[in-house]
Amino acid sequence: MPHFTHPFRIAQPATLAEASRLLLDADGAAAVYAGGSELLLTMKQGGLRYDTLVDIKTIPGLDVVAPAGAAISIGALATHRSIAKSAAVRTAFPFLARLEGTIANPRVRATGTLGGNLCFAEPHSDPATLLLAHDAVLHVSGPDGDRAIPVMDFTIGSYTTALEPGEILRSIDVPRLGANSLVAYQRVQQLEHRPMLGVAVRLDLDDARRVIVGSRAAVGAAAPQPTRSEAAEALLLGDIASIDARIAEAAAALADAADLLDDADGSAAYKRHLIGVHLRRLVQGALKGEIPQIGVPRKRRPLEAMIGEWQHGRERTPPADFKVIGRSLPRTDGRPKVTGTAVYTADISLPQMAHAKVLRSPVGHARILSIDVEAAKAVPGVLDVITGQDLLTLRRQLFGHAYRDNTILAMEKVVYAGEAVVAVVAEDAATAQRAADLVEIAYDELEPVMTPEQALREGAPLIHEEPHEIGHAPGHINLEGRAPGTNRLTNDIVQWGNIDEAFARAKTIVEGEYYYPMSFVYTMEPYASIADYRGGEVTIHTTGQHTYTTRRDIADIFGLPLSKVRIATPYVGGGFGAKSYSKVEPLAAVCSWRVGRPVKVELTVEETVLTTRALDARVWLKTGVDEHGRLIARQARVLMNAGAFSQNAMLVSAKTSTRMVGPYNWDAVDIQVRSAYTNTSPGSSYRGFGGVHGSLPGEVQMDETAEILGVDPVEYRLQNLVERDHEFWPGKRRLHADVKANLRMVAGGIGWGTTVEPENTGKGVGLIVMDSGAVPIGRSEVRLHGDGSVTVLTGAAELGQGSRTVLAMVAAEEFGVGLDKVRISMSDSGVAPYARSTGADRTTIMEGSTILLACQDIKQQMRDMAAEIWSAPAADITATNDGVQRGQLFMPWSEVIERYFTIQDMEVSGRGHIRPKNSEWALIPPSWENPVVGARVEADPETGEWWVKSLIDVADIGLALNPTLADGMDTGSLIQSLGIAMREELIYDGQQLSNGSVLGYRVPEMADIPDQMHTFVVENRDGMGPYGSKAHGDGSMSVVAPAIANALHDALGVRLHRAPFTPERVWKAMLDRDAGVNPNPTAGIPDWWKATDWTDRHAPKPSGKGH
Amino acid sequence: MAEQAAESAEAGGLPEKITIQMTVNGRPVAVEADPWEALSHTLRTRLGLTGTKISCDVQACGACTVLVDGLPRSSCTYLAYEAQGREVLTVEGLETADGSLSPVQQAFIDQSGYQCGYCTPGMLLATHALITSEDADDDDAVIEHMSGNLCRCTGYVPIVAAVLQARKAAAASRG
Ligand code: FES
Ligand code: FES
Repeated sequence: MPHFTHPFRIAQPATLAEASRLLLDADGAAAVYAGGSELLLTMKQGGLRYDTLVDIKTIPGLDVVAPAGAAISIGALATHRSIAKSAAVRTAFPFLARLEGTIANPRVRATGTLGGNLCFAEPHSDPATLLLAHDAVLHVSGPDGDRAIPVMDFTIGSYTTALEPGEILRSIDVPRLGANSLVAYQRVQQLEHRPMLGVAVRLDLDDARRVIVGSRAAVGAAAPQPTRSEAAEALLLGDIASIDARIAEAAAALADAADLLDDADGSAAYKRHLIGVHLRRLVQGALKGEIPQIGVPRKRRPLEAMIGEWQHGRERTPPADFKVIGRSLPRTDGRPKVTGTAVYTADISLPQMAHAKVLRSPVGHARILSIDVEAAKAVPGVLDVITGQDLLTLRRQLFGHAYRDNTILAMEKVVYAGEAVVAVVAEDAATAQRAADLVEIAYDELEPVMTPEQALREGAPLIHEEPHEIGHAPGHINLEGRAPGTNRLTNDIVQWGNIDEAFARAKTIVEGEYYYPMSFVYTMEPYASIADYRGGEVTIHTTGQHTYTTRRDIADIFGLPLSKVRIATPYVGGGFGAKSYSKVEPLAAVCSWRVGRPVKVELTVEETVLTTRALDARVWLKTGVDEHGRLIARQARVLMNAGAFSQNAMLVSAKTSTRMVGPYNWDAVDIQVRSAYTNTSPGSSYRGFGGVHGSLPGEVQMDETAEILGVDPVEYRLQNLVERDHEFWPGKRRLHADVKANLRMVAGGIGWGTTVEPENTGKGVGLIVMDSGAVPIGRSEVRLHGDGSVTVLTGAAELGQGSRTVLAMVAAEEFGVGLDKVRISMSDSGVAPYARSTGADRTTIMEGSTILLACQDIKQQMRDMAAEIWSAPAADITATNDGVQRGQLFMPWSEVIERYFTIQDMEVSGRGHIRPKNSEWALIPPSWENPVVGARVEADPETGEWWVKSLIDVADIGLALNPTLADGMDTGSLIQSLGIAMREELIYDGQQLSNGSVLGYRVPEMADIPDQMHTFVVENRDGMGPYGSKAHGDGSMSVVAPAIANALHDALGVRLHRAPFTPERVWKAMLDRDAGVNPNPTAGIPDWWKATDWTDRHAPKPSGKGH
Repeated sequence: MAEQAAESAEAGGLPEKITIQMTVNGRPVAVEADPWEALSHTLRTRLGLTGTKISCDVQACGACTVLVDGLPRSSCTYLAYEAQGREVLTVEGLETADGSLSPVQQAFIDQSGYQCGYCTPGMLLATHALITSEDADDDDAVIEHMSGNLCRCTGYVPIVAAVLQARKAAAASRG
């Protein structure tokens, strides 16, 4: 929320004494406000509340950084930036300058202060650790005068300092180092935005620089407070010639001194290990006079070289047979997006608009005993306080396209922590939030079930006691998996051949267990909707990518005809599946219905992750190989956590089962995926859904199999891959791709078999075929105007993928006009025809096809019109891209329209649709997406940290309608998926999500990009889309994780079966490697699966054979 | 106690409603505001400058980046009253007076340095601040600086290309 919830005052004292008195008088209700970066962020998150902030920036002289005798004095108000830039600090304390110059981000450094940082004492912040090595002294002023506190005595605990009430930090004095003193510092930051460890050391040498005569060793950011260890310091003393022998013991002492925490950052054991590594590196480096960079020890290739190669790699000769298609025309949404005029949902304000805020359940599973809304209703500015019981007069209180199980506001019980229970509508958002905090809810807690294993054990508490009504779009979704009377939501089965017979024939059998984590899609734009329900009609502006599915949800809730529901999606700040289906639209509509005014609901990122997340998968996989090395059998069992509402989990489960198959010629396949309702945030779509859940186990096990057989993993794949046009999947579309050629290209790109990697660097590949394209249903309308310009109306949404440009290019090509003559109106159900959805890589091929058909429809009408004008049979007239032709006669479009209608302002409109019946779209899938990814990674063999050097993929897309946009999709999806390979994982701690915010859930940053990226674009015009294009956009997302796991094996000899491959997991895998642990024990179908078999007794018998 | 603090705060502090006088995108403005509001709120809600975006709201993502006196700030956690007497630059102020795009904007268009566009205003301002700073020529500093702004769509590589193009343009205009 852009505004703070609770008002506070700003006091501006003129002197420190006055400030001190203000603090004392406030008795804890006031805080010192310096840079404010940590303070304001914590207040915004609701972690702290003060009535008054005492702004000490009005007191002169506190921001000076200057020599003061034998020290350099840093004023309490000096910003991180000014310290990092200070010449005095850079010369005297290069590490302090570097640390200050790399804290958080440039915005925090420009505003935040070192003094504020120390006083806030956030346990993960690290400057205090380095200051311990410097023996810094803090000067404070208070009601009883001034005093000096050594930094060692200053931080006494998590968020706790030695400051007495009314005391204020004035300056930090850092003593100058002697000529023979060396200081070094390292920060480790891995899973979160804050450091997980800081190690600082100071060595004072004798004049001969042979003996360490004094030392400091400190560790921080890994414990409640930074700590020095005198024992470690004593151990470091002595002859530098023999220092190596003493470091390990010193490191152990340092780790002992710190109260290392087992937490989301890592185990205490791993932190202890890192202290050992970094203390040694720092001491040895300092003695050698090296100044390592702070952070990962990665040497990056010069940016100009990297970008130059990347740009060169995207150059392409445009196809000669098109004028517009195949050209990298600039996006049509460029100017609005770089000038800030592109309008997103949250930017929209309507007259009389009110704002709603939601009170969410703090518990995972409970009956609601009572809700007291009186205090909230009494808050001035509050218009309404709405509970589930207020919705009983509506036609429906639940929504969902598959099952109607999603509450708008909780009814009798809550089914996950974070479920919306009460909505408060007020004149402004802050008032709504303040009032929501006054609502009292009494819960009777029930036993929560947090994992699918818990949910599917016999006798588990039921999350949904009554069976739900089937939703409005159950087609194309397998409903047979839901087992009433249990928590089972899906049971997807892919089977062909005789699996037992195939394994009996197999000479080699490989098994393993794998895990793909629960994740958060994090679109930069959180969910937002503005609903206006008045006069029996509702209009909703929203961030959703399924305009027409939401229209139906809203119509069903209120019992409205579809024509009275208008859903309009303006620019969307990223979708990636997270914005599919309805999210906050029903809530916004209900709020507006209650108050009779437009209502805006804007969720925070934290609320967004409580609305939808992506599913995890626990996988057991088994492969059988015959005596010729041919892959013959694949068997898998998968459990997924669907969360509290089904949303689109059913399709994710189904796609996981199909995408587990892989493009190999199996004789027998036996794959089964079950998902369960649990008391967690609802799981739903994420880009490429099911792809990586299938490919991580599948492609890692391919490498494991090749290793066991003693063959090259790439050769092994080439030997077993499906050929072009082969019906490798009984009854489905033949494979319209040459996956072998694609693999050869990628392998060549990473130098497979040709270049020798340096130590601790390795290569890996991964691939998949995915049944893409969702449901082939949609319609578009195109208008050709009398002046030759074109309007395109389509239901698809622009999520960033560039459809606004690419779809317009189709019409521009067809009518021979420039892109500047085409206007496209998208995703407004009040204007544009129906589109099934925007997602699953369907827009270009499906909506593009409907636009192409609509253009052809216009051309047909034009021929008929020209036939009348020329009094000639239509059969003699052909339509070109500019007009109509009959022999030597030619008439441009505008003339046809003007002569036919007698007025030039008239237009001709054409329509086109596709459907899955009686058409070429009947055969599924519409497209096989077949990404191949190759990765080169370099790893730190001691810490387990790794970084990507090359990421290369293939986009086999039939034809790139706009090449820059096409491979831009791949660059984006490669890096997006790198996040889950590196560190993204949503974690539940009991009933609560523990890292559902941008601070705790760290997505890829620019620093994570590899030195080399390239996309091979394969254009064989062999797809169902316009001009032979194929589905594209999600693909490579799905195979980055296995390519990296395989590359890490090549680099370090470790097998990683669990994403993300965090440094700690890599470190542990190295320990397993050294201990000779077998990553592929043969144990058969695991007990965690068998314990769920009983649910079959409650379910309709599954029909088998894919979906 | 809290009430007392409030009273004493009033003595040497801001009144309940304030008028902030600042320069926004080169133009002087005077805007009524609460002393406790974030600059993002003032810009988006009071001044209608909705180009500045909100995502994380806790200074981690950079979507809300604006420049105050030339330095990048998270407007989501920067109190508006602090902008009193200062110069604020938002995405709406990047175009040159004659309506043509700035070299940074042009670079993002030329290199396709955006997709959904939600991170773009913040990215543009971060780039704008970077290329005129002493960090511009140091690759590590460029990556460090720009890593404070998240983008979920582009994979960053096109943004790096845009930053390099803008850096060259800035160097050329310096002569
Ligand atoms: S919204 Fe301000 S930094 Fe993310
Ligand atoms: S362009 Fe979408 S977040 Fe950057």
